[in-house]
Amino acid sequence: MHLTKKKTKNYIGLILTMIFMLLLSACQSAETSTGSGAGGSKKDAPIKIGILEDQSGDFSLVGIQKLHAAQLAVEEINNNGGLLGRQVEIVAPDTQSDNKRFQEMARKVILEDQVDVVMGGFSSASREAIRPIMEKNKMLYFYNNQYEGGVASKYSFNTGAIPDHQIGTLMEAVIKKYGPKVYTIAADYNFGQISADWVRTETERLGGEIVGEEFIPLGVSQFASTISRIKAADPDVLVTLLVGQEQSSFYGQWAKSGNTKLPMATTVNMAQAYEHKRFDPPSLANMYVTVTFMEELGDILPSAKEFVDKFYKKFPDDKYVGMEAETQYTGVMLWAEAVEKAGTTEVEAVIDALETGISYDGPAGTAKIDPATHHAVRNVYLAYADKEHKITFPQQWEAVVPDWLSKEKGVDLTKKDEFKQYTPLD
Amino acid sequence: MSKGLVEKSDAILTLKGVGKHFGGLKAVDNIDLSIKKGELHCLIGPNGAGKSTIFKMIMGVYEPTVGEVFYNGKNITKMKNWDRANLGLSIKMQVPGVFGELSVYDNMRISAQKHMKSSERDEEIDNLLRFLDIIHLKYEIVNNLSHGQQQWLEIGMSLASKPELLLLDEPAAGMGPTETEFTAELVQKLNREGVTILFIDHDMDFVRKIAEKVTVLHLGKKFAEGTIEEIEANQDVVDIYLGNS
Amino acid sequence: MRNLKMKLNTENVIGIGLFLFLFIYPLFVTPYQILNLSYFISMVFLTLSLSLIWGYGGIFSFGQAAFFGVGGYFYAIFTMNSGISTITPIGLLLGVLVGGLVAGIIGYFMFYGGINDVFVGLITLCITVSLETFMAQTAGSQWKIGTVGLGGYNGINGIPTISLGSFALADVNFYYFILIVLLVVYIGLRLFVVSRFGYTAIAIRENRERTKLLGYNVPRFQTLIFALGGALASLSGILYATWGGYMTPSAAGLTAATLPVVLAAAGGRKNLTAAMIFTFIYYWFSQTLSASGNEYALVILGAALILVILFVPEGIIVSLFKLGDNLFFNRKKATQVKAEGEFT
Repeated sequence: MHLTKKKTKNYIGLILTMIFMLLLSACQSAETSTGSGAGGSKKDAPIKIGILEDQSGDFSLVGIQKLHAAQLAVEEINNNGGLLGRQVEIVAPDTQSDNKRFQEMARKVILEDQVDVVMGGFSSASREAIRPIMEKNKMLYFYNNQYEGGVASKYSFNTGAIPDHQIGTLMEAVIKKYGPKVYTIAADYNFGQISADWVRTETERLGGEIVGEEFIPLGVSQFASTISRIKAADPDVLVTLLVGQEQSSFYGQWAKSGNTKLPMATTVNMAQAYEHKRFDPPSLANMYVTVTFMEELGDILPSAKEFVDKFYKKFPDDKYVGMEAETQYTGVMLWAEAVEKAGTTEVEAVIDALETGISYDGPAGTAKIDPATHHAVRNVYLAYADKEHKITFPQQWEAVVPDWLSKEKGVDLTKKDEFKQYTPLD
Repeated sequence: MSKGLVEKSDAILTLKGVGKHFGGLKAVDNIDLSIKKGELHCLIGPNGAGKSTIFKMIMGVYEPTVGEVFYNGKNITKMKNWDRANLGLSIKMQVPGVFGELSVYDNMRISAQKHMKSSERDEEIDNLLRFLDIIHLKYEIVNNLSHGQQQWLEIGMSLASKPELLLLDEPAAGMGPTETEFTAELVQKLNREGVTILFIDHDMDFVRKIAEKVTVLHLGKKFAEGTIEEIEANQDVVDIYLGNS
Repeated sequence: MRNLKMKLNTENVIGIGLFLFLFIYPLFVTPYQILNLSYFISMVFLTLSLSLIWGYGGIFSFGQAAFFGVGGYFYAIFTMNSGISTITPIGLLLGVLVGGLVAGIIGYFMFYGGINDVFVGLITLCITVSLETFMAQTAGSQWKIGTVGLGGYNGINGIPTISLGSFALADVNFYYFILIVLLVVYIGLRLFVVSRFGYTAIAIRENRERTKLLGYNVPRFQTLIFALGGALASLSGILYATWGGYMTPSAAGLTAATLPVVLAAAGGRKNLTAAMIFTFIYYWFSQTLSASGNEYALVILGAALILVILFVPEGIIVSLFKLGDNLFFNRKKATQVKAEGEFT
């Protein structure tokens, strides 16, 4: 069969493509991967933490902060003699903001890398994708991230901010200062719906009134009609529970055609994806957010400043040290405390140790595990951005206890094992 | 639409008052046409006369704006084109409708498998390919065939359904003299075996050689009808050909 | 049916080799790797569904992921409502049928309405996006079917695996189960494409109008093959759900819908074996990159896929098959006829 000119070109192209693909796969940078299973005597073998965070994709803005925070924590532990006399190693595959990837990598770190604990996940969907895998494999799992609350699971410890911490406090502050009429716009999925529900409950408890409530599908980026409705309702406070890059375009549009004197309140923005630095003022003017930490806390809290400084020292190219970076750092430290207390990394023993109410004095003050709910007792700070996006902290609450699960749902994981997520949307 | 009176002749195809209007343009304007069973009938006329449009209305590619089409007495004006093909109508279009990336065998098979049992199919395909004198090309990719060979293949595909009425739109187009000769013999052979043939062509030698009856179309209307000798003797017909460039 | 004798060509040799390899694979790997490959296999059906309707039928659909979701969600809701593990195989069969039925209904409205080509892609795209958006907001507990909450964006977890009788399939057993299903489906599809249905599909792909004039009721056939594609995609979703125990709107959404299109195009959509093999290669490759923690994994994959489509538009695996044929199988018969029933 004689080869025509076109066919020759195709064959050459084919071979070149294959060589290129092989070259690419060969020059992956194995940043922090450690490869296969545990070997050697248990005494000297390193302790392994599986970190499942999104290093690429939609959620990488926060994912990379969390990975770096874990790396910082582990470096400190190792420099202080390690954990139980052993060095700590991180196994960190890239979950690519993809729930399927989370499932694959969760199985990999548990079964193949045989880690001693898994930490990670940003979106609730990713957490719910892997929580059953953790439970099935009896693997200890730390979800060090803000979320909508409600997870009651023997093997899960959720150290991040939840509505118990953020919403009651937030609404208390803004209603007191500005008035009772509240308009809510929220992302139309679990987190947004549940948070909006909490906002309603708290507002009404404080004698306020929801004058408008709108749910925006994820991925929507045009808010013209929403903005006119907000103006028409004339609220005292605008609560925004918007998630994702597209939905954050609301702020620019609001600044142009909205009423920038109207105070906004959120539990989501600024502390994680640092919108106040990425968007031009006055997009986020007059915005309040209740946080467990954000970089600017270093202005008023020495332990926070110390944390931010050492973070940038290790990662000088990073852009921001956000709330979840601190949550992850503290989460690792809490776990390390529990391991020291238990004297082993064995999961059941560490859980028992955690359930004694382990606490750690971290960058944002003391964080303590609440034994009954496996969530964290933490300080909460009210952050405020003025029209130049300068951050101040007008109010703080100490040791806020996340007791919705125990009070409303009767959850006590020290007495009875459970493996589910409760929601208030009943 | 009312069924209308069926003519009691041996007409296999009847067009009554058929017209096709594209907006203001009347591509076909009130045609009455009757093709008798077993006829070898030719449609001629200058370009734009509406010949291909009529074919498309017969096969169901277009629906007539006005008028009705009858096949063996049955009103098929609104019938779907595949149902018409299954009634015994078959067409070879002006642009070869063969499957260029496939082999000759595959092309034939696609047509044949619809109309015969799989046990008979391959033998029948061979018969047809022999009839068309392209059996030696059975496994060739159709794009590699000459234009003439592709036309014959398409005729073969039209024949696989054992049609009663075969429409041929320019069967000798782009063919040299030998190929045209072969095509003419082919068409006559088919007609002798009982297939009614209605064809369009511009090559007068070809038409003269085989047409029994000729209908001349002009500007969407029937202009003249008769044997080829009558048509060629008709001065008006000559004029419309010369007058239109 | 006398053309069923298997040809000796690169495609078949590699196909047989692949299945042999897959069957003995568990003997020399870790349980994790077996589990992993099960996941890859579950996703092969999705690419096959697109190869069938697009590569053979000429129907470009952006909606296969939606049927994936229909299957997965149906299975989850059906089996979790009943609570009996023995009903899971029935759940699987019903889910496949439901997926096919939904696709058939959508296909009916499209093809009998005369919609084709790029518009099918657009409509299926819209369906995918609407479904994903709708499912994402079903977070509240009013969104329940029977006792099973739809879970909104968090999806449904705790989906039971397949049980044969009282024997729940897990690990190696699950792997062989899913592998046998793949073998059966693969052989079925290979037979399908050389049958008269396969020929009809290809005719429709090549020239719809001509095929109508040859006597084929084209819209009916398109609807049927689209339904079959939907059933296959649904099977993929169910097997994924039983593998991972989890189903979420993002697995059936826009991003998920794009991947099979790219895989089918890059591997060679007109060849089932090529589509299958490329799916394995892609999933293995992308997972290796992801596991290494390389931040540029997605970029590398995107670049590789673009290169493939630029240089080898008929598909890289198909081109390799042809190369193999030229080097090994056709040399002797350089001028001889090609065997029957082979589509280029």
